[in-house]
Amino acid sequence: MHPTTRHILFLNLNSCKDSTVSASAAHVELKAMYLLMLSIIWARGFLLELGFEQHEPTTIWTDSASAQLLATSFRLSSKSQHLTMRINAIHQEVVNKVIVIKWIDNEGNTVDVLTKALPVIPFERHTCTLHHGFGSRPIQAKAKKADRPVTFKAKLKKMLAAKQHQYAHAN
Amino acid sequence: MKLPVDTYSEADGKPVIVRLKKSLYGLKRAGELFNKLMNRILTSKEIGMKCCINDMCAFTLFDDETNERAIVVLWVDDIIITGNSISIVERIISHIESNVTRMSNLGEVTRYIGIDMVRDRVNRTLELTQVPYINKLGPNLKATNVPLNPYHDYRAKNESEINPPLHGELGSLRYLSDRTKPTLQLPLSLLQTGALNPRQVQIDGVKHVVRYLTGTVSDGLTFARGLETDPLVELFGMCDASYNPAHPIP
Repeated sequence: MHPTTRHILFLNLNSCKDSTVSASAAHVELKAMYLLMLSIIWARGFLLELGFEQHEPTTIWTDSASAQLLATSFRLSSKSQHLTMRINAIHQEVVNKVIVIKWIDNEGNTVDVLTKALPVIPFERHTCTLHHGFGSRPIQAKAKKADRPVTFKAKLKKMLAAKQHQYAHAN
Repeated sequence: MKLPVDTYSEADGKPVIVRLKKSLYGLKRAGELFNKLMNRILTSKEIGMKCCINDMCAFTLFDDETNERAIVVLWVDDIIITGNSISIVERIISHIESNVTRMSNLGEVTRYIGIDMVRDRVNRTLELTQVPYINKLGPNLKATNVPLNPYHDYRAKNESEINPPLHGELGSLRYLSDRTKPTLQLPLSLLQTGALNPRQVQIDGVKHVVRYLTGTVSDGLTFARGLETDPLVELFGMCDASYNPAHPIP
């Protein structure tokens, strides 16, 4: 597969078709993260030269939990052998406190607009953030109470209540 | 570049070889030579600016005694000078003026390499737009909200018919996407896969992108200062990868 890897950075955007073949989704996400890491290192160096030193590590937001886990923990196994070089490169910068990797849900991941053809509502939200909202951190969207999936326990409780109601009326 | 033989030739009729001491406008090396000249002027001992390692077209000057800072950005012969006090900016301007034959000072920046800059001094924002360029692209069509139809597949190759290539149209849109319209990056990369011999869906896709632009002519990038408690420039990055850009049909 040749997926499109895209990363966005305050002041710098990049999106391109991947030139090499990837074997898994986590592999691709790690590639995108690695490219972003390179441009973060460049941007931090440039800002330092311009007199805006970054004291805190720069946050990388990713929507892939597996890529985040691989990049932040030292749990390498034979299954992740094909990713070792990139993981080590990202590890090094995490240890040096240049970057911090955090997870974000799909609702708040603005870079979606550069990887997928979106319908109107998410497109306009992400475009607004891209064009105007880079003064603030990305907002993690919270699901409304009505939108939350009904858990099995709640379903069972509801079913039991209905049965009891039926039973009481029958007698 | 060839010199006219009848005016510039030696006594035996052989053409002369000339060494240029100054660059001529339009030569391939002219830009590089001008950059070398500006580098020499700005990094001279009198002014003592430093050329950035990460970007060779940016120069900085920090005066620790008076706590004055200045940044100079070059785009061949267009220059932006910015700083935190007027005196240091005027010092740099007078220094450049004394070293070049002619320089015009256009005052505060409103237009730079085709990008309009609007500053809001009250809210401390800077907006970049390309309104005249977009208006030149096409007639006023019916506007759309998104640049591409999310339910179409724009990637399949055309093997049955022969259509004229789309490279010219896509190139003029690429100019926008690299500057003030980052949301066009995905549509253009999708449409470019079949640009040599496009299908009807791709030809319509280019029209769709132009229609999207007519609806969002004055939209551009806005840069704002961070909050007072935050650092002045706050950096963060986001990354993602996806194989199938088409949206699943609900």
